Amino acid sequence: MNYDEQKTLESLQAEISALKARVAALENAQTHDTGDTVTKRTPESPKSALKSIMLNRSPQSELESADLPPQSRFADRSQLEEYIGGRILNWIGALIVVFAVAYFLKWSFDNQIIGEMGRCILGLVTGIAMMTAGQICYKKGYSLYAQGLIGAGIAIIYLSSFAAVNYYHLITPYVAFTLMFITAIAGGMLAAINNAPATAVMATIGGFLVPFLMGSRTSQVIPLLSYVLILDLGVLFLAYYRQWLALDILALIGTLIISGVALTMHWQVWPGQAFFTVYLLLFIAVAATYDHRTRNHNQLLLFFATVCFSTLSFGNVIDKIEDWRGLFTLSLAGIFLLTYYLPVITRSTTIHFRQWLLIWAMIFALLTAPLHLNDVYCAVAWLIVAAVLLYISQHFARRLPFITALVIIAIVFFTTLGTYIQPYQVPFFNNASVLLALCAIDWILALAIIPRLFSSKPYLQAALSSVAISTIFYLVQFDISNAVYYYQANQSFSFLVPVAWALITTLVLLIGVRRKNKTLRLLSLILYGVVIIRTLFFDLRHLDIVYKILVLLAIGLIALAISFFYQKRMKGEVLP
Amino acid sequence: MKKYSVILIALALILMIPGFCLASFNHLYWQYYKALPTQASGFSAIKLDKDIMLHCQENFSDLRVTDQDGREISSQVLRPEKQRQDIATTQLNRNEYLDRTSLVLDLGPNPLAHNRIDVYLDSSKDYMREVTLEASQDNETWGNIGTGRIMMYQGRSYNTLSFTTNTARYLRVNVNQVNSEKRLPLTDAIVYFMPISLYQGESIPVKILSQRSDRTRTNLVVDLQVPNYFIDRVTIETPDRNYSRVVYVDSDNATSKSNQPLTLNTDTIFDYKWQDYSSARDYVEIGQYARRFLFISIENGSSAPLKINAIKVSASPPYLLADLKGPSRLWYGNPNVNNESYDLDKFAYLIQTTDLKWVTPGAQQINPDYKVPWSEQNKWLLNALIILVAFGFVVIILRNLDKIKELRKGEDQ
Repeated sequence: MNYDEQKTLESLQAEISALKARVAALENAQTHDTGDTVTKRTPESPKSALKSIMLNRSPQSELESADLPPQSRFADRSQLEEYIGGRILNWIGALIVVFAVAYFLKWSFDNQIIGEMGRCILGLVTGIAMMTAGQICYKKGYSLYAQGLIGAGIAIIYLSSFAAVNYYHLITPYVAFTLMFITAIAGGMLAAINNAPATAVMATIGGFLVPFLMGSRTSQVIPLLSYVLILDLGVLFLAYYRQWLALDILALIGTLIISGVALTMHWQVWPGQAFFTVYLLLFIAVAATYDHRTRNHNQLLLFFATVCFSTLSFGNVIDKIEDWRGLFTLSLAGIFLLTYYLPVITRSTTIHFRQWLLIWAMIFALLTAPLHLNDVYCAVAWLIVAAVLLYISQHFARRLPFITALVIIAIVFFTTLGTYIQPYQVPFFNNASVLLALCAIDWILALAIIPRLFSSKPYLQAALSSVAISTIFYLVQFDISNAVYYYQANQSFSFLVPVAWALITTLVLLIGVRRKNKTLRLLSLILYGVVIIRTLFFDLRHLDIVYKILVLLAIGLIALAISFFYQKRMKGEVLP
Repeated sequence: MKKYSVILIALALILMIPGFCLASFNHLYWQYYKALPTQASGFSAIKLDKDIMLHCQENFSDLRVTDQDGREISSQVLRPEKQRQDIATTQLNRNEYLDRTSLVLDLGPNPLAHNRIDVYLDSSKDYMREVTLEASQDNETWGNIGTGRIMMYQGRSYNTLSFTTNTARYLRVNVNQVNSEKRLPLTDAIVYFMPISLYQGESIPVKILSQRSDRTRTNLVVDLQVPNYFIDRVTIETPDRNYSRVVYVDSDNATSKSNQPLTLNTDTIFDYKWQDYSSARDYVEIGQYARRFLFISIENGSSAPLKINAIKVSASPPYLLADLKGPSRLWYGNPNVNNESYDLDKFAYLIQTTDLKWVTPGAQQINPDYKVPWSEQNKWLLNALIILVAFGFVVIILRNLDKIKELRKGEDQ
């Protein structure tokens, strides 16, 4: 049996187990509904549980994932009471014990009651004792109670280890990290074996709260971030055996909060960046593991991890990599692309997950040029990105890239109007003209695609056409005015503006006829009205008599030509 | 698997490697230097010549002075000040006559030399009045020291009169008025001394690159040859009479204005010449450092453009104050450094410039050790490479997305 077949078999076994569990849960619920005696759920022995995990069987977790809606769970009051008294109170109690221990330690430290070594040993012994007691309770069937005890024990061990290395320097950082690593692994294994998400959550919360509870004001960023990394490794370990998305997101939030706090300390840019990169890779791994184990299409973790760590990374290094921003962005794209190519990802994860890896790689690849370039080149790069997005939207028939492209073009367009439009420019070859021309090209590309994506909404096409033509009109006027000024020509040469507008309007009409597009034809008639109004009420005032004759002649002839076309149409000779 | 993992790790390392360090003072990053040939020790004023102004950064942020052993010496750029010195006065007498209003000022027993006076009249409307200035040592015998006109035009006062430098104790200001003019109360007068040589700067050679007009404006582009001049005023010489135009003066580094020009000032130039009086102002006061090119825009309204004979720019190169200890070096030409903040900055303004030793830098030398950062030297190559690779990524990703699309189609079927 080769690897693929074995994986398929394992996957099938997991699915059968899950289905069995769902059936059992439904039967159980039916028993509740019919008022039968509630069957006591006996915990599996750790050995058999671990075995079931290794075989991809996760009976209780699947049971929980197949839980009935909360309203049926709390159908009778005694169950609600049991839930609050047995579970919620247990969690709260354990958390309060952790706080109590933390404050007791602080009080004893402040009053010199216990020596430094004593404090740490006391903490470690208490933690181990609580975990042991928890495990004993679990074996005796008090699974919920056991979860609280074990969780609190884990958190106390974290606390003691952190204090031993950072406060009292009793042990070296390496020893402390080893201790914490073992604790994380032990906590994770216990949570996995006992199928106790609450234990895992409490251990994680306790772990992330350690630096805050200790009130650390030291400037040691690296140990703090290393500590977070160890916690996250524990989460990755858990993610492999148990599919607790809430725990993964909790770890992500904890990591982000501590990273944020670390940024306010004596921050070191490049070591800090190393940690951000490792966190990103780690959470991609967690997301991939979750996807592999659950086969569902929830990409929440990948989304938040990518957004948060890439933002943190850019914020961290942006001042240091003035000339290398593009390479940095490209590296992020490369990470996602190569993660996509990793055989372990290709074999294990769903198509949906791999598609999202590619989408993230595409986002960073597209961001490369705009972030790398400055000034007008940056604006040009954004317009090229918009064109690529339009292509993607057309190729994959997706609206989101199309809308994103329109937003980008609009932003660049208004930026151009606000920033680059200056009077008295060199005609045609100035920043504003180039940007407006590219904007116009992008608008036209969007116009070509819009019927495919929004076929039922012709008004969108009309609106986009208006925007595109307005851009072209503005560009023509801007360049003609600049040319008249630059070459110090007679001011009356501005008569070329309405003539050019009339010609563009005619072109729109011809396209409308050729494509049998009524919207475009109507739009061209409206535009022609605009041209005539502009000519009569604005241009004629400023023109010398010769130019007045020329402009009226040109506009009039074009009007007659259009009118003739419509006369023919009315006879049914041209248009259907 | 191994191959992809190695590349993935390499990419992760790119995000981590601390390969970029900020440039502290290290002569390798400065492109030019000049020797400062002086044997003297103590505060000196170093003249900044055109070479330095051309190659140093805006605001002189990259100027550094080192001693013979290459140790940095603190220095401070000082701009030429107008050095106005106000003189305390006491108002003795204020009289209103039929034809004038007069005010007598006492400048004290041993008055400092004075040559300027600002006269303040109480008026909310535009006005023009002739003023006669008289001086006396004993408050009895008066001699005329000057006559001029003060005015308020479009809400702005032009009320400074200059006169021959003198040391008289008493000064009488007479604001004359003809019968038809409304009497305006003379509220105050401030006397001060302004060294003429420093005030006006020196006329620098400039070249008009272009002069174009449209329906409403005339635009001129003027090349100052080098950036970083401290511009005192820009004079627009025209033979035209009876005009009043608003002038906008901007500055930039290229012959066409960028979207972030340096706005220098906006003011009105005018010339009124009638039968019994004339008043003219053909310059715009600036008082700022400028970039290399000046953009002068004259608002013509509906009037014909002015005929412009010449543009004259009064400017002064700034100087560098440094506590030299023998021969030193002045470094410049590093685009990546910011202004240093030395202790000298806190008290430089207290040092009397008249007592300083002036040092003229030697010829410009190119630093043989100067290293252009790779990313700067090969900027276009770097840009092209990064964009090409990004484009390659996009193509690869699109191909893979296509494959996934096919796979999903297959799954659906």
